[in-house]
Amino acid sequence: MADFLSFTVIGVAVGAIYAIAASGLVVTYATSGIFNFAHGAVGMFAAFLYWQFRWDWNFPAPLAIFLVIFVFCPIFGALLERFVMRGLQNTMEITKLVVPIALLLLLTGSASWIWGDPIPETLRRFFGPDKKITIGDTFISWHHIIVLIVAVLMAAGLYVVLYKMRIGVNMRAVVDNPELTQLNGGRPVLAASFSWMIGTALAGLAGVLIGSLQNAAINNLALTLLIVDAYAAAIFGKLRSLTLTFVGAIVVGLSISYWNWLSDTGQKWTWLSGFRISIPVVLLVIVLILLPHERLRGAVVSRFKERFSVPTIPKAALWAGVLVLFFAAAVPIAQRKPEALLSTGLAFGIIALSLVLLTGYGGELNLAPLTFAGIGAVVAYQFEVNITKGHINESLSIWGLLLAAAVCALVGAIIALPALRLRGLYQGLVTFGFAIFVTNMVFKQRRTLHFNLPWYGDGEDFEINIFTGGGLFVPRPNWFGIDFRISNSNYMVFLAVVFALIGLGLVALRRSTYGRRLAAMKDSPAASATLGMSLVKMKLSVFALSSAIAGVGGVLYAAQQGASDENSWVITASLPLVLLTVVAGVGYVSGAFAGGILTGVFFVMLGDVFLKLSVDYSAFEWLFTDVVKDFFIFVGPAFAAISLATSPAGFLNDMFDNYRPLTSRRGLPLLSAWVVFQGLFYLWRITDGIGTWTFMLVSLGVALLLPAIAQVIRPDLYIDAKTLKQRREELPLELVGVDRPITAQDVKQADAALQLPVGVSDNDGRS
Amino acid sequence: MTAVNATTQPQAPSAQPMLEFDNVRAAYGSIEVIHGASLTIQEGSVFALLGPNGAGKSTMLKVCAGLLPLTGGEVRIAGVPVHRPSQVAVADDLARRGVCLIPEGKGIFPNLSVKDNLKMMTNAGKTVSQIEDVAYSQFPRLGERRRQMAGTLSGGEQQMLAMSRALATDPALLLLDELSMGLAPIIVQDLYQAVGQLAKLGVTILVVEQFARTVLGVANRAAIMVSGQVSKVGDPAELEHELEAAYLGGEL
Repeated sequence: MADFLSFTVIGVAVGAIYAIAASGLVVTYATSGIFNFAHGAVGMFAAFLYWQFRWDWNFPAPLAIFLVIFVFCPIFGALLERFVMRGLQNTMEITKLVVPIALLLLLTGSASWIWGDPIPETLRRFFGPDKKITIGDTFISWHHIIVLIVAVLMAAGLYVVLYKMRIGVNMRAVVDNPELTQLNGGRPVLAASFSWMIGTALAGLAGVLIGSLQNAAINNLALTLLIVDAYAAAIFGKLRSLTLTFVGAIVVGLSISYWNWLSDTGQKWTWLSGFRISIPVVLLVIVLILLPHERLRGAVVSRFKERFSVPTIPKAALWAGVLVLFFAAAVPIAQRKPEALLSTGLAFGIIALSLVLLTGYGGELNLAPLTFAGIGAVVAYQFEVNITKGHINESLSIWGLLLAAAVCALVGAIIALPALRLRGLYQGLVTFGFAIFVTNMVFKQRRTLHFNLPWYGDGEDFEINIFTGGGLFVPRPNWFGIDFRISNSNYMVFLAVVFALIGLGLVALRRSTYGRRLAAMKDSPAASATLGMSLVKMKLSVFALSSAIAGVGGVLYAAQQGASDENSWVITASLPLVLLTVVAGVGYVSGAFAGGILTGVFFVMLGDVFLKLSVDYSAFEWLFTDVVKDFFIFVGPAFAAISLATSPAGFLNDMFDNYRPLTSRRGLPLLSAWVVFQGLFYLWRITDGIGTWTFMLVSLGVALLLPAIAQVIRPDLYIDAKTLKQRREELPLELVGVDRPITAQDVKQADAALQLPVGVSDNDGRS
Repeated sequence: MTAVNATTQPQAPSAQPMLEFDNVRAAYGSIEVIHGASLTIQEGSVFALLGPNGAGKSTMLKVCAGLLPLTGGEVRIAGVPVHRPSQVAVADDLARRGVCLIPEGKGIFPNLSVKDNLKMMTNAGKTVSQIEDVAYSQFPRLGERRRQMAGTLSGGEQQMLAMSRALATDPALLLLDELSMGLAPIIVQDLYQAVGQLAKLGVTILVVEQFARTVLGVANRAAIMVSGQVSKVGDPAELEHELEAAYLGGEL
């Protein structure tokens, strides 16, 4: 009984912290319509800052708390609203989702950048770890009591602000109708700013409280995810109701605490040890599946929707050839490290292709492609180990790869089931929760599991060791008489071929009936359903197929790495890939390529450049290594993603637009001249006339400057292109008069098209 | 802009212009919808702006309330220029200074309770109890439903709630956009009764309306707008005959 009481108190206290975090999330969502994925990261950052003040600089605790919660957090929240969130109004839902995710990465990256990762120090409980009071034979620590008091005060304060004060009514009114709020004399900007200040302060408060409660070394990612647990509570309140959010938070807190009690704090059922930290995300997914979503935001077809053009198959085949050729040409030049990097980038690119199919073509969302990739890798590993009873196969078999793809497809279809009813944000959260669950339950699984299968062996147990010693060893293949195990170059070209083939397949798929159905489903699920299309079949199949691609990519990635640990597959590794693919253009195969290369190569390379500089200019070593290099590695991807708002279809498409005129018939001489130049230059490099750096820099420079050069030499190509672009952006004829009024010009054009004599209709368009 | 002060003293229509549109141009994106419209509305008068769909009537109100920046011309309130292309007054400032626009459709917050909706009106300066007194005495049905979410009210009740703002916040200039949209004639009559009351108190009112006959009974001045331009200004009785031509798209 005493146990029950203390576990209840602990559960309620943890729930109270979740309630604080979740209500902050609700406040910002309710006033801006933006689900702040970075909420957990803000809390983490605040906790780190608190550590800095309290334990590194030894400020008294009240002062440190004041500085963090009442000074830093509100200022940060106001800046966030002003410079990031305000710009997100009237943007696509994916942008609203991706930019806060970029912010999450920015904050976790910044924490690593500033404090190193992780801080070996401990955030201690208030009044020390051992201060507790005794009621009967129940112990309650002072920290828990403080947490409870703070939560009650916070709830009361929030209630008064939101429901009793005018600013609160204004904040809630802004969500309903910002224009009408203004007509009432309310100031939407002020309300939004205020709500972000409150939301950020609550995230910070939760971060400090939960960070100290851990009484352990603080790790930025772990702490971020700890606050992410509160998302379940916020969803339970449908992101609107604070009361339900509180109830949800207490339920989450108690579930964790009672699980601890039942399982003897993880002593019992050791293979379920990952379950404790998974409880919140399991509850999150359950709540998402069960709650009716009558007010799904952003499910409306928006006018600003990006339009992706689809290449023809011959064109796609040409590009596929160019890609393979490019990597084949790189073989004689590239050294070991760039080769490994490029291979990593290609493998990431293959995984990113799953996003092109799912998000770009199908309009569905998956924030965790690397989770599926990881499942693929685990399956391939298990297959290679278990068919040879403990001795790993020397090379990857085609059956291992196919089995991995099949299992991933199955898992993908299962994940599609809850996603069937959900869209946008909620779908993103399901995959997010799934990723955390799989990480905890599978990727961090260290136990040997025994199963007594009646059909297996001679009565012995079937043993499975999912992630032995924290490492996966997936061998590389040895196919078609080519050994990919020894030669990195071979493997890189192999990956390029695989990428090209899958990419080509996707283009063909997009151009098929199935692809057109996908596009229809993306544009309007309701319209597709009324036309008699089975959305269930479509969603299941697209999720399955995309997961299979991710699985194949995962196996090849694991094989590229040789050995990979669980950190390769966690959600925080997935997010940059998703982000950069969306930034590069998730509707295009080229977007997946660029996303993969950016994730796997670009920022690492940039870092390396500065590393090299630091060797050359040792006086500035601190600047180049500790500041600039770490900057690119930790926060570079996040910065790239925040640029998304300016170019919704991805920057790559905008870049390609400049090259398009060159591929026209009249641009061909110029293009061939460049190809010949590049070929000769390449020969010069091969024959060791110049060094790799010179070759790379000049080639890259010329390629990037090509459109500018062409514009000077052949301006006529670009004038045509401009009008062509305009024509492409023009309204389709059937929308004239709906999206914009009919002009005299339209009437003239219509007259001409109908071959009516001039003068039948007057200039105002009235006849 | 102290000139725009709320007043409850009954006044006879005077010669002072309260609201002037001077060669106003406005555009949605790159599409211009008002091509140099001019109007003068005297203080204390009820002015009806009529015309077919898409003529730019509602846009005129939006420009006046500060919801849409103008691209040319000038808007003056009580002789003071408030909107120019270079400098546009913000809607919330204008609302606090007594310009009250009841927008087309339902000018309410559906996810706030009736009481919270009324509380939003306190931004313009009155206290909650003052506003509640006016609203509940004018529309007793709102009093019965003060705790209900405004979105669950009937269409007529929603329009009453929206109209409460005009009644309770003592505006100096009231802009009404399609008060009758989608409502039964009997409710429209009630609403226009309230408009008549306000007019008696001396509030300057600009009404945009499709229900031309109803509004012409209340108005003492009217104009017809066609294709983004004011084509005719006159007494309501005069204009009644012109209306048919305007709505049917014939020449005026």
